[in-house]
Amino acid sequence: MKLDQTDKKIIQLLGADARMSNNQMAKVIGVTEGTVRNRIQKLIHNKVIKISVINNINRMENPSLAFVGLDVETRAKDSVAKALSKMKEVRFVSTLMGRHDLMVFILAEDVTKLSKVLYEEISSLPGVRFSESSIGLKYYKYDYRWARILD
Amino acid sequence: MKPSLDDLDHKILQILEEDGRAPAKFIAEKLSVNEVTVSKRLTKIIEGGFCKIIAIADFEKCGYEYLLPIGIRVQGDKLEEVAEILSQQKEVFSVNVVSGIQDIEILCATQSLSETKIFLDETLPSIVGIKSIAPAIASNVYKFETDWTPFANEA
Repeated sequence: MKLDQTDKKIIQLLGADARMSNNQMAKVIGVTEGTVRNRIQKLIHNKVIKISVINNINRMENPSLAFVGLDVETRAKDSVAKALSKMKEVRFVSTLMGRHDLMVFILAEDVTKLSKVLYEEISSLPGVRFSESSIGLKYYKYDYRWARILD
Repeated sequence: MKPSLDDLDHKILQILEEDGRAPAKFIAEKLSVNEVTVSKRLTKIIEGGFCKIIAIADFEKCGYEYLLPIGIRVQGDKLEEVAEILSQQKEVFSVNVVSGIQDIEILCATQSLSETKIFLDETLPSIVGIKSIAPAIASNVYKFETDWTPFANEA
């Protein structure tokens, strides 16, 4: 789907506040309410945007966010990535070119749960050889507006 | 004490998870409360920094072809400075100070290979305090959830 200026403006406005009404957006952008409504429908249908509730992790008691690089046997890459994607605490999974074979972000309710996911669940997956973890201490920037909208 | 979310707030959020743009009136009818209550609760939830109701955009469909998870090692006394500078770069959308082999983990999105090269070979090396970078390109993203994230630089 090719995005034009109107689409981009809608994405920008909804990225700041998805509760903004079609009418308000139409006024800001200078198009009709119908155009806004149609464009939003199209953007959502084509999985360009997704209206979401985003929760602040500071609502969790002791949230632990880990950035984990995994080295896995080449033929197991896809099966390990799929198994990781099924884990609730695993928030991000991608294959990599360079650095490691896979990159994973884990968000656990506390450090105990994190180590369980890392050292019991992940290391027991067939094909996983080595992991390198970094634990988040301070978040300087975290733009939740960008992601991949999958399935 | 920090204000917290109660039952009604959670019920409102449940509806919004299904449809983030559901009008307050619709939510009010569904929960048999009045519209003003719903609006007030929404203000508390959003302005209190509990949640945001926003549109997530798929960066690939918006023209950003490359996603780069990069690990960065920094001279000890320059950690905060480097993190600040990285946060100001337009390509960078996540900057996290971490403990581990790396000191900082970032995510950035670029639109082309040439933009990627400039970022890796020019932008990053020009930042004083960076000792080394461990770059990578995310080739196939299997999962990318953002329903729980840090609200950086906010309460």
